[in-house]
Parts: sequence; structure tokens; C-alpha cells
Amino acid sequence: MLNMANLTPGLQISHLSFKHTKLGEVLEFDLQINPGELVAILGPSGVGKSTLLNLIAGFDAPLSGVITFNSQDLSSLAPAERPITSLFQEHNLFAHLTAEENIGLGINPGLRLSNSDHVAVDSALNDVGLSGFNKRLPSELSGGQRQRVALARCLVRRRPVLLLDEPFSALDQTLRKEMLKLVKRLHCEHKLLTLMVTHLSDDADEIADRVIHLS
Amino acid sequence: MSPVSKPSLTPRWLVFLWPGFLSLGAIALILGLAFTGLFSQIPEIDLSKIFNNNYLFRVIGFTLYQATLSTVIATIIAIPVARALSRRPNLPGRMLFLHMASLSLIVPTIVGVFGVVAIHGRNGWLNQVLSLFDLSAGNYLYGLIGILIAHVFFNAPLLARIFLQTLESLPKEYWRSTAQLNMSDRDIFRLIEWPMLRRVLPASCGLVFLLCFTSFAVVLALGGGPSTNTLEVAIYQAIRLDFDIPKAVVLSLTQLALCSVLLLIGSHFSRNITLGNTEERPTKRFDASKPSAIATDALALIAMSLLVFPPLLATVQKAFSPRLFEVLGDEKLWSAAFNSLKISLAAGTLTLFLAVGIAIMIRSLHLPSRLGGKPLSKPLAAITDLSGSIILLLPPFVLATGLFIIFKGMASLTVLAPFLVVTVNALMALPFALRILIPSFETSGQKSDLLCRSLAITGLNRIRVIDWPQNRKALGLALGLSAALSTGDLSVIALFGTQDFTTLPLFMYQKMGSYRLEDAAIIALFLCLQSLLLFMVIERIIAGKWFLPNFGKTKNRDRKLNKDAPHNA
Amino acid sequence: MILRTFTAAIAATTLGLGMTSSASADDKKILTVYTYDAFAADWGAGPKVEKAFEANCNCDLQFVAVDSSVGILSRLKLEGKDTAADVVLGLDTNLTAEAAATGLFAKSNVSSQSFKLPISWNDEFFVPFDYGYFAFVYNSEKLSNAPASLDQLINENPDLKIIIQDPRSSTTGLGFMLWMQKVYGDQSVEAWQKLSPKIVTVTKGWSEAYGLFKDGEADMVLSYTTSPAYHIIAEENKQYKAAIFDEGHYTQVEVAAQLSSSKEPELAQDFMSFIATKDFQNQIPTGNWMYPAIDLGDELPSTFEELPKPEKALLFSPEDAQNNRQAWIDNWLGAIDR
Repeated sequence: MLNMANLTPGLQISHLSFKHTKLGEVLEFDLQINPGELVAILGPSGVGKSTLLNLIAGFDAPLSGVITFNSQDLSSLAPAERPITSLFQEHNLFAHLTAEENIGLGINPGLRLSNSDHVAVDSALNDVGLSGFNKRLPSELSGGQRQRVALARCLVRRRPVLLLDEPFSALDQTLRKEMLKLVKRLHCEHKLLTLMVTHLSDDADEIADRVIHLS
Repeated sequence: MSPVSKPSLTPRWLVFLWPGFLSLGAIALILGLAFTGLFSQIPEIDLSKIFNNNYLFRVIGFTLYQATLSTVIATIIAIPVARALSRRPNLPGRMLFLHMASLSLIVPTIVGVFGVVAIHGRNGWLNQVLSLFDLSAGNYLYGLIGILIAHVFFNAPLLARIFLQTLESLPKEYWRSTAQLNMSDRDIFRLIEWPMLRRVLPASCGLVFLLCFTSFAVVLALGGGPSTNTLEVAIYQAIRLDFDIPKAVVLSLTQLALCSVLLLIGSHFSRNITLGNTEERPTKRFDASKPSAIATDALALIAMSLLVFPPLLATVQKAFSPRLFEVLGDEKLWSAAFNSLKISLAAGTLTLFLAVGIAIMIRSLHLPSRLGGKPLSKPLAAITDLSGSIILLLPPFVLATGLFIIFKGMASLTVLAPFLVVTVNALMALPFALRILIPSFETSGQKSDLLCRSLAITGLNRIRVIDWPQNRKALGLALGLSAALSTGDLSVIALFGTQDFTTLPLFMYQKMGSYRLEDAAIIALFLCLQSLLLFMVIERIIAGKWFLPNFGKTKNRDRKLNKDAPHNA
Repeated sequence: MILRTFTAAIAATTLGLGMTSSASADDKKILTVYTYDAFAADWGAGPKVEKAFEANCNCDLQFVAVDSSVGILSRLKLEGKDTAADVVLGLDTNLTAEAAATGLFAKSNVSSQSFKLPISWNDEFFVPFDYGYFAFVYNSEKLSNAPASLDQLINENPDLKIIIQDPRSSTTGLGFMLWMQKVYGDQSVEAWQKLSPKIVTVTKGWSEAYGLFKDGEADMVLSYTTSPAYHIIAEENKQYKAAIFDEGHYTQVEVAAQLSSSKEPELAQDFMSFIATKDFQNQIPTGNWMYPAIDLGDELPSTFEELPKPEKALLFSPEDAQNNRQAWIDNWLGAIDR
């Protein structure tokens, strides 16, 4: 197993099993994502799409199996130590912190930001098309804008793997298309390995290099 | 109520606020009657005579000092406990800890005081343990220290519970984000938890401040002397010993005005932050496994345990005397227990109705989809919130006396006494119920108000389908707590004694009053257990926790799901 | 669903609450006596007094138990002429002046010759039903050198710890304050200041103080000279003793009175006379743990005979107590307010 992992760059998931707390069933995953790939995971709700992302990010612990990235075993790493950044469907932003502060947390978890850090925050906001929105609270932003700010925070973290969990399901179609384009662009510009979970096959077809169906 | 789609003739604000007006109206009616009664006995008021007394001003000064200190210490202990419990949802004994801790809230004051004495007194457990090592902590209890220990004992668990509820209302994504962002324990507290707690701090600490400000039995038993007394003691003297109703009224109103101002200033600092839906099941927090977090949490939980549990254990221990079975076999005990049960259920129900009305009103005043942001909404919400709490500032014996004067001509007191007891007890429990219901109703409103309105789910349907399931946990807690609080209350029933109507606290006090301290200790334990049982049973029934969690709906869903393991396509 | 449950609960409790009060619908005359709860309790003197009185009166004697003797008076003041009480039982001499001023009471027509009290008694409204002396009670196994006078209590043994009650909320507390006043007069403020370091705490009522004392929180507690009798008779425990002071002890005389508004004046009168009989007084020593107000002769339990009795009984006239109470309380507050 280790030998095989050593040979494979990108994200490698083998015989990863997990007991779903609510359903009480054991789920098992096997996946291989290549560097630079944008993969969409498609399937109805309840099949464990989000669980898969939670396992990769380290929010849930597997029963058995291996996750490696560029041959590095991730299993024993804490969420923060993994080369991963996540975007959830909602609540990515802390409601009482401004857009700027929410992004700043990605640079310094104690929010102690230098001048150059502020510049990085500005440029990330610019990247997602929200220049000048620094002082807005999440409640003063639209749903799409909130996800853009969250994306900006993912960018400033400079992690090679981006996990998106139904990130735009709550948005209307035009806005969703726009956001998908943004993701695609950032994926290319920052040379990310991106994994997106969705239940909308349109979204998957729209941007993904490859679509994996879970059923 | 008419569906939203049709234009309604009722003004919009009235549609949203009528339940609150109903509750406030009822409260105003009760208070109005009480004060009418009191004022009818006042020929004239000589303010200069009442306030020409240095002692009174010193007492007010000390009361402010003591209440502030008590509140600060209780808060400082409660916050780490709430954090520890919120990030350890699977800690063994967690539920037991919470239930035991709520006991300190519902034990009758005098039982709690004797519990504290049994631990910290000259002859207490602490000194007994120390004496094994030839040490002594001495006689530290009486005076400011004793007051602080007792006040923290009574109030820190309440605060911890409120804070825990607040932290548990945060979405699980927060904890995932903090984990991924590598936020340290301190950063999480500074940047996430503290700003959230600050939101509930003014109201909950305000409540504790009021309880300490009006503390009566505690300061008289442990204060050491008149210099540590509260204004409440002076009011008691005025109305009971001197029968000086004008003085009692003036002092009550002084107390009311003073604390209202303080609370209004406090409420100015409370902020409302819009939260989204929250995960009902406990979420894993990744900051919990760090050694430093384990150390601080253990320290907090141990400190709280040492503070709260020994006095309760002492209460249990004192009850195990040779008289146990004889007292338990006394038919009087059971009839008193039954009377207490009736009183507490009636008072708890009344409290719940009043509190739900106010919670709905405050929710409407805060929600942007309703009246939030309107010019008068914020002050109105603050005043409504306040008027639910300041009842604590009117000493129950003053309130009861006023009501008594009004009703004495109408019916014999024997018939009336239980109703007065229920009414006053219900009002006294109201502030606690409000602290539980207001945040819960607000959160549920934020979750589903817009949806409800777009789907035209209104009136009873809304209550049945939306508000009830979303708030039943809080409703159960509020009803359980109000009922339990009323079980242990002595202040009101003691004013209207009758031969046939004895409650448990009164029965206990009668035993104490005639040398039968062993019997009183047994009744005290019985009373605590009845309160606790009532609290737990009501909370569980209303919150729907009576059955196993995996019963019903989820089972059906299992079958529909695809059992095959996911695989690569 | 839940609304229905609540409504049902309210209806049920309302019914239940209402029902408890509508008992005893006999044709017998009813005599209502307001008293304090310890007197009316099952184990108190009340039930036996009730039985003895009802044996001859063909009536129903009903006690209404209020929380304290102060409570009886304020209840009466609140109710005024509408009061349901025919007789009140349980005021003490510190309250009689105030009670008499309400004008609610009828003359007792009971001869004061019937009574045997340590002080002279002459009051046309109030009838004494028992008396006792305030005293400090201690555990003789733990405290060997108990003070023999108020002066020793105040000036000797600086390590001695006592618990007293607040004169603003308790009759024993008020009694001790008057005791100090009686002995020290103008010097009472200084006496209180010297005593102050020995006072562990000042409680709301007798019950809390006695409870704290029994828990070992102090060496002595303010109570009655007759308190040891309870421990000897009921618990067969002789270690509790009352310290007898040379200066004399302040006396508490508990009284009953008949209300002029009574609807059963004859029955009330019968009860007032009954107080001076042995049938009533026999219930006092082991029911109320006080001295009977008449000479019971051999029928007084021997323990009460054996209890040490103060040489001198101290008492202010009701008027003095009433007129000076607030000033003395203010003095007391000023003296021990640390």
C-alpha cells in the first residue's frame, strides 16, 4: 500500500471506510485525483458525498483506509496541518467579523495582521470581485458575496487542495454559473487540485475535468 | 388570524405583538393590583424621614459592591465551564453534571445555605479534611466571603447553562473552520466565543446581579451582621416588623429604579448577531483534544464541581439519620409534597404562558422581516425584556401583601392563598424562563420566519409545525425550571399560612422552627429530589427526549437508502 | 396538542387547589384562631389544645398558622375589622402595645389572678398563655467555661463565638436587643461594640441560628432557657445547657386576645377562659417548650422543675418597647455595623 502511494502524485484515497453516525452503515471510498484536476462528485443526498470531503479534510475519522497527497500520508494530521482548504455550503464566515477579518483569519489565526497581510487580503478580495467590501459584515452581504469572501479566504491560505461542499446550491442559476466560472478561474490561476461535491449534474458538467458518480 | 396573502385590517404591528401585549397586560394587571392595594394603605409619604438614615445608604453601597463581585466571579467560573462542556459533547457524566448543577439553582435558599455551611463552616468538611494535616482554614465563611461563596454556588451553574446554550447554538462549520484555520484555544475564545457570549452577557449577568442584589436569606445567614445586609432586609423590616407600608413601597421603588437604570445601561451593550441554522446534534470540536485545552477544561470542571457538588452531597448526607423512615412515612409529608406539586405545576404553566408571549413579542421586534429596524423597535424590545426581569426587584412579600390587601374583601383567605401563591411564584420564575425562551425563539425566528411567511404558515399551524418543534427543548427547560423554582419557594406561602395548606418548604421550616433539625434535613432532601425529578421529567417530556433518539423517522429512511458502498464510476 | 395538555393541566390544578379549602361543612360553630406555625404544627401544642377544647364546646376549633408572631399582627392589620380570626394566640409583650393600638381587640374578662408569672401581670385585653426567658444555649461537652453573666459574655474569653438573630426580623433577636438595653441602658452601644467580634453571624430567624449552632458554627446561640428541655425530653440528650446570667434574663410572655369583631364572641370568651385552665396549660411545656402561665403543680414535667431558672426576670413595659424600638434598632445597627 505504502509503495503504491509513493508512486502516485495527487490525492489518493484507498479503502477508506467510515461509519455514518446517523445511518449506522459502513461506507467505503476509493478515489484517485491527479494534480491540477478539477473533479466533481455527483450523487443524490445521503450517499456520503459530504462525508467523503469531511474525511479528506480531517473533520471525521475513518474506520480504516489511507488518504495520501503527493505521497504524504494525511491520516494522522490535524485538519490545520493538511494541505487542504474547505468551502462549505454555508456558515463559512463568522457572523460577527467583517469580510476583511474573516479573510485575515486565513493568514493569521489570531488576526494579528501586518501591513503586507492587509495587502494580501485586499488582493484576495479583488480576486473574487469584491474590492472595497472590506468592512462589511456577513449579514450585509448577499449569499453569493458571502461565498466569494469565503473563497478569498481559501485563496490566502495557499493550500494546494480545495474542497467545495455544495458551495453554491443555495444560489440562483445565473449567480451559480458566475461562481462556477470564478472557481474554474481560481483553480487554474492558483494551480489547485479541486474536488467539488454537488447534486446538480449541470454544475458538474459545467466546470469539471472529470465527474464521479456516487450512488 | 387571516392568511398573509389577504390584506388584513389589523395593523401589522398588532399582528406581531399581541401575544406580548397579552403577557405584559397580565403582568401589569397583577402589579397594578398589588400597588393599588399597597397605596390604599398609604395616607402620606414622608421621604425625608425614610431616607434620613445613613445606614440605608451604606447598605445600598455594600449591596452594589457585593452583587457586582458575585456576578463577576460567577461569570468568570461559568465561562470556562460552558466552553469545556460545549467542546466535549461526549464527556462521560456530562448530562449528570448538568442536572446536578441545575440543582443548585432550584434548591431552596436555606437548604443551599446549610449545604454551604456544611462544607465551608467552622466545623465544615474543608476544615475537617485540613485538620487531618493539622491545618485549619479558620472561620472564613461569615462576611463577604460567605456571601460570595453562596451566591456563586447558586448562580454560576445557571450562567454556565445559559452560556453553554449560546455556544451550542453556533454552527458546526465554525468549529471546522477554526480547526482548518489553525486557530489556537485563545484565538477561538477571543475571536469567536467571547463575541458570541457578549451578546447574552448583559441579560444573563443582569439576572444574576438582580438575584444577588435582592438576596435575603443568604446575606442574613452568612453575612455576619447588618453591615452586609441588602435593601431587601430593610424592606422586610418595614413591611413585617414595623408594618410601615409607605416605607416598604418607597424602598421597593428605590430598589426598582436603581437596578432598572443599571440594567438599561447594561442592555445598551447587548448586541444582536444574526445566526443561521444550527446542527441539532453535538458537533465535534477539534480544539478539544489539545493538551492545554484538556488542562483548562479539567480545571474549570473540577473547580465548578468542588464549588457546587459538596454542598449538595452534604444535604444528602445530613438526611441519612435514624429518623429517615419515620419522616418518610409521615402522611403530612406526602400531602405537603402533593400541595407543592400542584403549586409548582400551576405556577410553572402560568410562567410559561407569560414568557412565551414576551418571547414572541421580542422576536418580532428584532427580526428584520418583521418589525426589526423600525424606529421604536429596539427601545421597546429592551423595555419589554427588562419588565420581565425587574419583577425580581419587587420583594415577593411586598407583592403578596399588596395582592392580599386587594383581595381580602372578596373571598376567604383560605380559598385565596393558593392562587396568590401561584401568581407570585409564577412572576418570580418569569425572568428565568425569559432568559431561556428569548434566545431560542429568536434563533428559530431567524431560521424560518421568511420561509413561513412565503408559505403562508401562520397562526396555530405555525406554532404546531414550526415554533413548537424548533423550541420544544427550550420550552421544556423553561417549564421544568419554573416549576422546580416554585417548588422550593417559601417566601410567599409563609405569609398566608393556613392550617390545611402546607407545602414542602413550609413543612421543612416548621420542623426547623421547633428543634426538629434532623427531620428538616430529611425533608430538605426530599424537597430537592422532588424539584429535580419534576425538572427532569418535564424537561424530557416536553423536549421529546422520552424515547430513544433513533426511533421513528430515521428508521424508515434507512430502508430507502442505497446500501451499497459508494464506488468509483 | 401541547396547548390542550397545558389547558388540562391548568384546569386540573385549579380544581385541585380549590378543593383543598372546601372541607368541613359541619353545622358546628367554628372558632378561628390565628397563631404561629410552630404552635399549630402536628407536634406542637395546637392539636392537643384543639382536642381538649373541642371535647367540651361542641365546636370546631381551627388554627390558621402564620409564619411568625410578627406575621400574626401584620395579618390582623391587613385584614382589619374583616378578619376571620376570633382569637389570636402568639403575640408577645413587645408587640402588644402596637396590637392594642389597632383597637381590634375586646377585653378578655379573664382575671389576671389566675396566672403565675415572674413579672406582675395586669392587662385587660391580653391573656398570657406561656412565658420563657431568652438565654444563650451551649453544648456543655464542648464549652466548659460558659459565661455566667452578660458582662462575662461581653468582656471575657475573646475566642467565644455566638450566633444571634436580627431584631428587625425575629422576636428572639428583638428580645436580646431589649435585654442588652435593659441591662446597659445608655451604655448599650459600647456593650454591643465589644460584643460584636464574638458574633459569628446575625440570622433572620431563630431556626437558622439554631441550625447553624447545631452544625457547630458557634459555641453559643441565642435561644431560651427552656431549650435544653427539648433535648432532654425528646432526645434524651443532656449535653445542651442554657447559661444563666447574673444580671437577670429578659422575659418573653406570649399572649392571646379576643377580637371585638368575632362572630362567635361567647365561644371566643370560652376559649380565653380555657387558656387559664390546666387542660390548656398542660400542653405548653412539651408542646411549645415554654413555661406554663399557671401553676401546674405536680403536673409540670420534672425536667422543667430541674432546669436552672434566672434569679431575676427583666421586661420593658409594652409601651416602652414600642416607643423606643426604632431608635434602639438604629443604635444597634450603628454599634455592630462593621
